[in-house]
Amino acid sequence: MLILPILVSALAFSAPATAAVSPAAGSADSFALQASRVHVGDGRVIENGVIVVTDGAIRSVGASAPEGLSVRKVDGEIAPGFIAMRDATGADSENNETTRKFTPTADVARAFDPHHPAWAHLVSEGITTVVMTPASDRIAGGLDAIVSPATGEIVKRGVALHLGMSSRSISNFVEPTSYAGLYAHLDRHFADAADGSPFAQARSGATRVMMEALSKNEVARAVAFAKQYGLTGAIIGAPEAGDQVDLLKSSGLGVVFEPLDAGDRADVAESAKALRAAGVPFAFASDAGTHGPAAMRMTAATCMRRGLDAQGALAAMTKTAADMLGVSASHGTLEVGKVADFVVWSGAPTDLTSRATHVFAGGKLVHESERSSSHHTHR
Amino acid sequence: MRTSYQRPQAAIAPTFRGAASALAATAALAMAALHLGGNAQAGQEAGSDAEPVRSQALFLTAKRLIVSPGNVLENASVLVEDGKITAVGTDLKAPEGAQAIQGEVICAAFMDPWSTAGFDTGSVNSRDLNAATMATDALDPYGEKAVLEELAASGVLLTRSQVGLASDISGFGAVLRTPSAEVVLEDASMSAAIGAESPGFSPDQFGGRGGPQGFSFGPQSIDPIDRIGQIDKLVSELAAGQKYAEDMAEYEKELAEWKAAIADKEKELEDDFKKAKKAREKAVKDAEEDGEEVKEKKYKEDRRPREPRYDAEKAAFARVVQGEVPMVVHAERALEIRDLLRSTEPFKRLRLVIAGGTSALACKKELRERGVTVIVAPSPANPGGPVGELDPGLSLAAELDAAGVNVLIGTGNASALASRDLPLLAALAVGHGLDRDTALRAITSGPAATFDVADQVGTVKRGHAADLLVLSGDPLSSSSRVLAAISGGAVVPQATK
Repeated sequence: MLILPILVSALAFSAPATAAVSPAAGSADSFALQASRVHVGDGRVIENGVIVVTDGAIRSVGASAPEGLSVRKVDGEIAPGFIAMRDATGADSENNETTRKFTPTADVARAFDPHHPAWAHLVSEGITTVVMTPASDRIAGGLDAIVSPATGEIVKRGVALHLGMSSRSISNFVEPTSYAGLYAHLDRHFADAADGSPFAQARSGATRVMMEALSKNEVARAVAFAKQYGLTGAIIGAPEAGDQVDLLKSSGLGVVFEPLDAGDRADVAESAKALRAAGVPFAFASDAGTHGPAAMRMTAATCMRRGLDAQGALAAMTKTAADMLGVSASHGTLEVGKVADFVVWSGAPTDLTSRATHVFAGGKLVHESERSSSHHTHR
Repeated sequence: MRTSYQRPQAAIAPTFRGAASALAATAALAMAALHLGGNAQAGQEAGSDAEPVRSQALFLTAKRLIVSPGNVLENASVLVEDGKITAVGTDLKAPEGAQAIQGEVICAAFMDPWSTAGFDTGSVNSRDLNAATMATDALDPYGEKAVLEELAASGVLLTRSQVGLASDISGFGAVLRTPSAEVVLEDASMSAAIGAESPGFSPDQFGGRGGPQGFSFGPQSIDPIDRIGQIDKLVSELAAGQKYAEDMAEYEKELAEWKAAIADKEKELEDDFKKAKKAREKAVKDAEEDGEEVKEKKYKEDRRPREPRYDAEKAAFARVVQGEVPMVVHAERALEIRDLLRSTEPFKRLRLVIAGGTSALACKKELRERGVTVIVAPSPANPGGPVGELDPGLSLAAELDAAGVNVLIGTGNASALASRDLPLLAALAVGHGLDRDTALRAITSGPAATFDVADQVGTVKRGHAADLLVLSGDPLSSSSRVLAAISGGAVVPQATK
C-alpha cells in the first residue's frame, strides 16, 4: 500500500548533517528492522544486520539496535533504494517542447507530478529516487531535478544542465539540422556564457552536465566538448562505451546506460563489464513513461547474466548514481545520517527473481507487496 | 504423435491421382515407384551432405542436474554421444576421449514458445500470408550470426518461431534449433492474430508489444467490430477445415471401397480370361465384318470416386481442427479472448493456445476448463497500463497459474533478439509471484509439450536430443551465467566471455 505522496517541498532537501538528529532510543519516530542481509551499498554486506531509523534518517546500521528499541525481523535482504538516472513518469507531455532547442533555465522539477499514479509502479520495483530530465530531443533543454516519487519531495533542483548531443536532438524541422550546427550553437552558448547562466555555471563546475550521446562518434564529440569547456558530469546513452574506456576514463565523466528495449543488442552488458573493470563510474536510467517500471532492473540483470558482478550492478543503481549526482551525503548508501530510503527484497536485491516486499522512503513504509508472504505453489 | 496429414502436402497425395482406369493406374503406379526410387537416392545423397558434424562425446557434470523442473539429481552427470543423451545419472564414468564440461547446474536448454528467430524482418512483418504458409520456407541458416550468438549466450537454444506476426493468419510455425537453424518440427503450430494492427496496441494501453522502436503495425483503423470480424473469419476457416477433413475422410472411405471393387473385378476377369478373350475376339471380328468400330465393354467399377478439390488452406485448417497441430492465436483484450473461446467451443479437438493474453485473467475460468495454454509475454521494456485485472503487468503469469491455467513464457517480438530475454522474463515472473519450478517449466518442458516435441527436447532424459545448458548457478538467477550451451549434441561456440 502506498502512502499518498502529498508533500511537495519547494526547497531542496535539507543537508544530511542537520537531518542526522539522534533522539533518545525508543522515540516514537524510531524503528529497527533486522534482515538476513543488509547491503550498505558501498560493497559491505552485514549478515543479520539491523537498521535503525529515526525521524526519517538512518541512525545506525550494524549488528544490533540500541537498548529499549524493539527490532522487527523481516524475511529478506535490505538494500538502499534504487536511483533512476533519467525518468519521465507523468511528465512526458510536460517536457515536450517541440519548437525550441534551447531552454537552458527551464526547471524540470516544475513538471513533477507527485500524484501521478504510475509512480507507485516505480516504487514497487524498489526505485525511491528519480532524476527528472527534459526530453531527449532538445539541445539545452533545462535543468535536471532529483525527486522522491514516494514522498513527493523534490530532493534537489538544478542538479545538472541537460544537453542533447545525439541524433535525437537533430531534426529537419527545427534549427540546427546537423551535428555541425548543433555544436556551433553549443559553442556559442558556452563561449559567450553570461555570468550566472546555466552555461557559465557548468563551465565553472558549479553545475554538472548530463550529455546525451549514443553512437561512439557522438560520445567522442561530447567528451571532446566537455574537455574543451571543463565540464563535469556524465554521458547518457553510450551503449558501446566499453570500446571507449580510455577516452571516458581520461575525461572523468561517468556513463548512464539507457534501459534496453526488447530486441536491442546487449552491447550495454559488455560495456558495463569494461567500465567496471576500468573503474569508470556508471549508472542506469529507468525511462519509465516510455518503459516499464522493471526495465532498469532488467537491464542491470542483463549485464549480470553476461558477467557483471552483483555488487557492481547494485552500486550502479545506488552509490555510484548518488556520487554522479553529487548527493552522496544524503543518498546512495545505508550510512548514519542519510535519508532512510531502503528496500526489503525477498532475495538478492539485484536478482530479478526477488520481489520488493517493503519499500521505505524518508523512513516511511510506502509500499508493501501483497504477496510478501510465501507465494502459492499450484498443481 | 501425428498420424495423418504428416505434412500439409501429405494431405493431398492421393495414391491414384490422375489415373483414368484401373489398368492405367497400374502403369502410373509403376512409374511412381521408379520416380520415388530416384527421389530416395537423391534424398540420401543430400542427407549425407547435410548431416551436421557432431563433436566428440561430451561428459557434463554438475552439482545440480535439473532433469525436469522439480526433479533434481545432486552431483550428477550427462553423457552425450552422437547428438543424443545416452546416459544420465549420479554414478557415471567419463568414457575415454569424451570432452568434460563442469558447472554448478545442468538443465534443458530454454525454449521460446513465441519467437521470430531464424527469419528475416520481411517475412516476420509480412501480412501477405495464409494458412498454408510454411515459415520454414523463409528459414535462413545464414542469417544474422550475432543474433544467434546472443541467443546462445543467454541459453535460448530452441524456439517455436513464426513469421507474419501481424498477419491475420500466418500459417505453420516451426520448432527450431536456433544456433544451427535446424528444424526440429516444421509444422509445430498454426498462427493467427486478432487485432495485432490496432492502435489499441499503443504502449499506453496494452503493453505495446509489436516490434522494435519506430515500427507500427499497419493501418490504424481497427476497431472492436473489426477485431470480432477477424475472429469470425478465423472461425469460418476452422469450419471450412472441418468440412474439408470430413470430405477427405469420406473420399478415402469411398476410395478404399472402390479399390476393393476393382480388385474383385480384376480377379473375376482373370478367372474368366479365356472366355473373355474369345468374346472380345468375336466382337472385333463382328465389328470388322459390319464395318463398325469395336464397342468396348464398360465396367461400372472404372468410375473412381471423385476426390474433393484440393485446397491448401483448408487442408491446413483440417489438421488444426483435428487437433493435430496446435493453433496459436495472438489476442490481448478480454473481449477478444472471450469471443474466441466462445466461438471455437464447437471444435472439440482444437488445441487452442492464446499468445499475449494481457487481459486473459478476465476469462481464467474458461481458459482452465477448456485447457487452453496461455503464452504470457511480459514486456518490461514497455510501460504497460493500469495494474488491475485488465492488465496485471508482470504478475499475469503468476495469477493465471494460480487460477489453474497452463502458462508458458515467450517474447512475441518482431525482433528475434528479444528471445534473448527469455530467462530474465521468467525470473521477473518469479519476482512477481510465479513459483520457481513453474517458471522454469514455462521456458523448457512446457513449450516442448505444447508444441509436440517433448519426446525430443525440454527435459534431460536418456534418448532425448542433447539440447542442454551448463550454468554457473540457478537457471533463473540473475547472477548465473551460461558456461556451455549444447545444441543438438554440439557445443555452441559463443560469446561467453
